[in-house]
Amino acid sequence: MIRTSYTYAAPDTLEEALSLVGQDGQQVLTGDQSLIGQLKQGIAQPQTLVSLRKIPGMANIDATAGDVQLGALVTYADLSRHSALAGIPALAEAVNTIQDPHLRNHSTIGGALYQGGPIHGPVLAVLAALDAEAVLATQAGEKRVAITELLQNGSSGLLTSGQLLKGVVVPLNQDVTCTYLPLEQLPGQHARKGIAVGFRRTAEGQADQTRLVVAGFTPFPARFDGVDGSVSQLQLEQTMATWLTTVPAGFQRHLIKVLINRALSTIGVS
Amino acid sequence: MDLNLTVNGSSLRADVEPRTLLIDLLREQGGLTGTKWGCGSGSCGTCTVLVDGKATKSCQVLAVEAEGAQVTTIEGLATDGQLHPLQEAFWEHFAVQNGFSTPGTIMAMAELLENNPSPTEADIKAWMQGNLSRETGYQQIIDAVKTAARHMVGLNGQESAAVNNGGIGDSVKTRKTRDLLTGDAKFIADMSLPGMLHAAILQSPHGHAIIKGIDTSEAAKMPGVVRIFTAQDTMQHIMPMPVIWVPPNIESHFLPHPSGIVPGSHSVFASDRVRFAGDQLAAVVAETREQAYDALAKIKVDYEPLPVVLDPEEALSEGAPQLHETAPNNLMIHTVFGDKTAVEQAISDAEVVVEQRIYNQRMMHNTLEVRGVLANHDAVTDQYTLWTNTQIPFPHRLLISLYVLGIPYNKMRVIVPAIGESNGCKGNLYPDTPLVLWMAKVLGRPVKWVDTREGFSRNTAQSRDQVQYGTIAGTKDGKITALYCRAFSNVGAYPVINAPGQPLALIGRSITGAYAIPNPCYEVNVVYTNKVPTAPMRGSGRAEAIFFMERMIDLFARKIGKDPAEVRRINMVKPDQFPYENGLGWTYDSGRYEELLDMALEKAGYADLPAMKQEAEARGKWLGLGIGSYVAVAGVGNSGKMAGEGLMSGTWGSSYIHVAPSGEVAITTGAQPHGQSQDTTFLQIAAQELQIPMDYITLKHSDTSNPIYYGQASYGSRSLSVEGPAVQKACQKIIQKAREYAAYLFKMPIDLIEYKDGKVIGTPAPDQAVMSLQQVALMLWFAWDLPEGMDPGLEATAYFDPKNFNFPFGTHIAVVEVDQQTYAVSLKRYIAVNDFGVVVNPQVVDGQSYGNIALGIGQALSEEARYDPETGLVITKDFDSYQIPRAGWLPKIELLRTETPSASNPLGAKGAGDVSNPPVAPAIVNAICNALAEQGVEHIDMPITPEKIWQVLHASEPVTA
Repeated sequence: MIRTSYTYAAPDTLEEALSLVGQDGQQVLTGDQSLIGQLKQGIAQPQTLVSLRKIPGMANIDATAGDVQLGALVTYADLSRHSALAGIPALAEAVNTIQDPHLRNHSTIGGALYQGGPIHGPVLAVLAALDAEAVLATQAGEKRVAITELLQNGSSGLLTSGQLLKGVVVPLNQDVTCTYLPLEQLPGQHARKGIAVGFRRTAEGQADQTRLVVAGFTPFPARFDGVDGSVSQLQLEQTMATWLTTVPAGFQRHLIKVLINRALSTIGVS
Repeated sequence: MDLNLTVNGSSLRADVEPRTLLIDLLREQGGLTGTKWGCGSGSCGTCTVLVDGKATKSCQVLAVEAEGAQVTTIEGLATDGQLHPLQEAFWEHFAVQNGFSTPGTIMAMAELLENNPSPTEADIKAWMQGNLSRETGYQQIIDAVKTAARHMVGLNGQESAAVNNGGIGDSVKTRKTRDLLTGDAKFIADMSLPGMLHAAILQSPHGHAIIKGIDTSEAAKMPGVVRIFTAQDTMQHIMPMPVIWVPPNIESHFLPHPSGIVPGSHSVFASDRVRFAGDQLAAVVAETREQAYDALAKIKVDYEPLPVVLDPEEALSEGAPQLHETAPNNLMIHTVFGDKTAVEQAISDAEVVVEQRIYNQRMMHNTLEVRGVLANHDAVTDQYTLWTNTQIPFPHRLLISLYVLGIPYNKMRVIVPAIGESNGCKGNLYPDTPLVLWMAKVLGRPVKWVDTREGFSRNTAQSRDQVQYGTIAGTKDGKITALYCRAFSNVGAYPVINAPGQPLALIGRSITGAYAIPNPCYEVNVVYTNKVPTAPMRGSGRAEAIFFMERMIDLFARKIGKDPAEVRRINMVKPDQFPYENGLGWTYDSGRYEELLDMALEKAGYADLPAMKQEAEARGKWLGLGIGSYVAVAGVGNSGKMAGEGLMSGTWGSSYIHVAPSGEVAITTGAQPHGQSQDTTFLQIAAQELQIPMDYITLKHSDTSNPIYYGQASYGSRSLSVEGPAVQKACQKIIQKAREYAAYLFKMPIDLIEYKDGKVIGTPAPDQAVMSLQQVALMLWFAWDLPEGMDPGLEATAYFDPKNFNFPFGTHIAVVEVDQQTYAVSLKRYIAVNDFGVVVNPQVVDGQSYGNIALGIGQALSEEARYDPETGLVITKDFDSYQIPRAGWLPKIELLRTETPSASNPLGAKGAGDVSNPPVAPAIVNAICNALAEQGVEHIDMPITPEKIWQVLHASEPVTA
């Protein structure tokens, strides 16, 4: 039961959507089920819900030689079935940590960026590790923002009110290796916690430009920069503020160390 | 907003609010109630439908977003009256128990088979991660999906054991199942009456507080509100809940009850003080459910919070907050079972003594179906009718009429619609139930109340929650000489109707389990705290006792350096010792305890355990094997014995049988099925006895207006072994009357009248002197020529009150692995060897075992009701915070069974419904402790989560959350 009353609009064009999204009290709905949970709990209390479902092209997956573009309404089920995923195996690994068919059918790329939470952690972590960019529509045209940059925004959402997400662009680069390492846990309804590790192999065979992004411990994945063999207590504690409170922090730190060590051994750093 | 979509091939136009959920559109405007509301947060999957072919939890999607979509609900799955292959296969494989989760599971599986025509077991389990089942244990569902997949591509499925008809020992296909598969069965939330109003009930958010004032003025002005009730309105009209279990000759402290006959419990509304977060304060009755809840949010209560006490030992200590004036130091009962002095002496004389504190955690029944009530009062006839999902309809009729509302018993009728699992929580009388009935009378319109998931977490009884200080003593070569358990049972803020049953007899007389222990003692303090009241839960009492015993014996074996299996063998009750008095009040009927232990060990490959451990170690895992042997009292009565325990009720079984002039047989049972398939098993008993096809017989229950004196209902694994013999006896009475009548008509001595194949036969002239049961029934209905003293008609009433309980037994074995880095626990194998005496329907009984095992896995690994220590509010208010086992947690369960008849009833049956739950949690915990033994771990309290293992292994590190 949703207690909040709001108005609902499903504009036919991006322009219309932009004008609605610019108003106070709006919330964008990309068909993601997380927002419905937030509405029921009163976490989200919009005055207007702006659904993007009628805007053409928002659910498209377009693969080119250099990148893959995922519309904001692309679901994880769409993603898992699309041939483009063959070029981004880490994304397939991330999606595969979600088993509930409803969550695959009703979790979207837009939901990952607008709502986040435990279901979207692995996909967001992989997108960040792959240097993917969010494509935002503005009155002045399109704007691209690196997802790693958005991850700095904290716990309430990667996109601020008034931002309209068109989709995400994932660069395809032969030199980049990326994988998602899920944690062993009793299979639950949510995605599995884990770590996305991305790196570029140098001519000498060394790992370079390493990205380590940990998913499932914070509302949005946490990126660890400059990790070269170990992670400091300080680095771990710096992200503590937003960590889940139901599990002892010490144990969460322990698991993250395990994940980072596994990630580093994957890329040949120990 | 105007909305147009296609549902099951037909257009559905509706005017909805933007906040309306798809589930509400389908159920309320589409009338498609096969889609069930379970958790409300997208966790349980009971609301799954297909939207454009995609599995969709309809509680997690806005109706407006489905504009233009093609929606298929369970009602749309069968075509032209032909069940979908999934529906057929669920039926064939006994995958339907109470059926509440069945429609959603089938809909999710429909998408799987559409995408993947030949799924593996792993594929099915993965796809089922979004669908919970709280009673089936998943195994039969998985088998059903595999079969359906094969059928859909024209292949033969996995062979089903189901037969269409049969007697005792046959896996007969379950009756009354079709409407559960098609979504046509009406559960309480699916019901409505003309002119019906909706109620919402306000619960306290404080565990302990003084109520300084309640302001309902703003709420009263909300749209659709008809009336708001508080304690001011009900105080003079509704008496407090009664307590009907008062242990004799023991000091006990309950609350007063104006009847003066029984002690009391809480009132429908708190008036001056709330004592747990969930205590009721007010009810709003409105035209729609949404309006009732919208208005409820506007009621303002002025609370003065008081300190809360949530721990039973703290509650007994000096200076603790006091809950009730009538219960000094928060003590409800203190008592001792066994000879404490002798036990203390035996402990002090023993070569080896092991002590351990064990906390059997607080559990939530968390049935997927919440509780609900629909009530009506006919002012013209003064007839009260109550529909509710209770497992005790006759006790509801008696207790509400006599002790709560003071209305005539003969003016009250209780009907149980289709009902989801109970796990024990629907065996209590809750204050909301008489409240709704009373409000319906006051308002002169039917009133319906269906709880929310969060409401359920606070107002529906919880269970277990016992602290145990254990001492086990014995010899160095493994003979146990004494066992002592000093326990503190936390029963929450108020007593439920049978509050003392679980912490006293069910645990206290059961703690020696399968062993002959010369000196046992159980001492218990039953304590009030500011937690939700507790009631029995599947495995009730026996689960706490067996967990205690099986952990203590493992610790003892470890201390003396002996094989825990061998120590069990040394101490088990031997076959020649039956009937065996266990020293605490139970007399075990029959058993082959050691034999079943050895069967389980052999199946598990126990001899290879060191090699298994070594292999796992190489993969970075600690492997452990744990044993859970058990004996569990079942089959409640005998009535006299139960009176001795303090139950103020009979516990006999009852049945009424009626053979119509057409030959059709109708049997009313005193049992109250809620997923155990008595509609099938009782018919098997009757069909075998009467030697007629099952389809000639109908079983009636779930309505107090059925022709039966009283039904003692279903709980504690009693139905088959207590109510079943009453059915058998009623059939025998019919046969006896038919033979007597035939003897008169055939002019033969009764000794020459045989009853065979549904006929009475005069054996000297079998071709001439023969009448079918139908002919006998018709002739007795005519009653033109009856022998002296014989009444017309062919009917009988029968009762069965067993002389003793019965004692099913067995051994379960769990093999687990613990990851050495993440401490994740995974269950690799689970072997269960059970003996339920004579089994009527093996597949039905297997279904009960699977369900018991899944519940035990939950207790061992994940489930615990958690509370805010400051406010006393239940934190685990949904299925995200309270993790129920999902299909992927379970390995393929390996079930084995033997049959040792019980002497306690003529069927030779023993209980099966909940008795195989108690060995599960100890088997798993013993396995984990075995896996971690070399790390120095002796005991970890449940639920054993990775963080608990981390805490134990890294005790020096900070553990603050």
